[in-house]
Amino acid sequence: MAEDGGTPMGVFKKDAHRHWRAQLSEYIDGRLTPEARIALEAHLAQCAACRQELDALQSTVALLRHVPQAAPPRSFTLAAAPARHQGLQAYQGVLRFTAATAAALFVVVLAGDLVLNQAARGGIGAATERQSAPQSGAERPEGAAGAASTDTSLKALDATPPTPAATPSPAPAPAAALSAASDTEATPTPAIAELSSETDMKARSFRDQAPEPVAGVEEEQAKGKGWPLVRWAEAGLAGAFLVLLALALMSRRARRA
Amino acid sequence: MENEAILIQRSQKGDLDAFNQIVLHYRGQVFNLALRMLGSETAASDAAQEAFISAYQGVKGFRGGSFRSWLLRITANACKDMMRSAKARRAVSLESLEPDPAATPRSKAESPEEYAVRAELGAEIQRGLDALSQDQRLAVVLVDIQGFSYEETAEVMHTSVGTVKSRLSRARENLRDYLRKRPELLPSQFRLDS
Repeated sequence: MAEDGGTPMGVFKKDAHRHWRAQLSEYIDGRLTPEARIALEAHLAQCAACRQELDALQSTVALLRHVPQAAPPRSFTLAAAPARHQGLQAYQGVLRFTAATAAALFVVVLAGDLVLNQAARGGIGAATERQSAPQSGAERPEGAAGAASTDTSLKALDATPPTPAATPSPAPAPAAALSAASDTEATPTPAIAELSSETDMKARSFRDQAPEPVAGVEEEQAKGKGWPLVRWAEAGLAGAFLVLLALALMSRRARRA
Repeated sequence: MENEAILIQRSQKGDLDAFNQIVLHYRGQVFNLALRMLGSETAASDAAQEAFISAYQGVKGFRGGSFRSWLLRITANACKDMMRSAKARRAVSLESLEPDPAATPRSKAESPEEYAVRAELGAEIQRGLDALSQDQRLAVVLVDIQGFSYEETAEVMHTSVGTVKSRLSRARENLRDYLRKRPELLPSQFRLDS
């Protein structure tokens, strides 16, 4: 075969012959389109090298078709029905399908979790802005030394409701402070008595207001109780997927063994 | 063999006798495919038996089409599984060095010399097949040795006709090159021009 593979023209010629030779196998089987067959035969008429390749390929195919068929050494019939379920092998398809279903459900639950979480954060953020304004105003009076401090504390409490993070007992705190304040006084003076009644009224009014923030806090807590269920679902689906995947892999190995 | 479709239906209902009729009909094709894929009678017997067991267990999943293609696909998979195991590889590498008498049944019409030539040819072809990749070997065994069409071969190999053409073409070229390098090993009337 006279081919110059070194020069660019030689490379071009080699590639051109490769194109024709790639069709020789189909040509032998009569699987070329009429147009391709005519083109190839026209090339073969002019190219001795490709004709030689065709001859060698045809001889190889003829040899293969000459290979004798061997007689089976035995009948291979089944003496008894083999067990339909061989451990995990029979469930390979079911395991794969179930694992895929668990994975899909996990993705759906996780996506829903993320979407709801974002929406809830938006709602909590708005609620937090409404309720948390002057954080310092939520300081509870500790102890109750004198009327002035008590008054100041009460004024502060009156001005600002407690933050949602505060425990749902803002009312008891001032009440405790008030009681502590009253305890420290052996005999309440008339001024202090007036102040006490005034503070009682304010405390009552404060307590009346308390349910709203308390309700908001309870609402947020209720939402918090809902989240763990989703987490459990996600964890359960992820665990189920991993177990099913492991079983499917084991059944595949059992089949190959 | 009775009507194949009826036998398949009965097999799907658990009729072992019906299935064994199918086995007797296809055992030659199954065994020969396994023999040419594995190059060893022992390994081919094991693979063929495994294929029929798998076929019986999975016959309920047969949904129509060519039963032969379906069965030979199971056989090809059984051969691939066997080739993966190290034990089968060692058996193949040793046994394929010698011509396998069972692989070349002798015809009463041919002389001992003719039989020897044919047996030697079969052994040399087998060595050439062993040198191919699994996919190329399967393509050339199905088309050139078993006589399957491109379309049937594509069904067995679970691939496209285009892929079959490509693998077959490469397999034939590689075998041609293999046989060219060993002209003295081929019987004289089969030697290729180098």
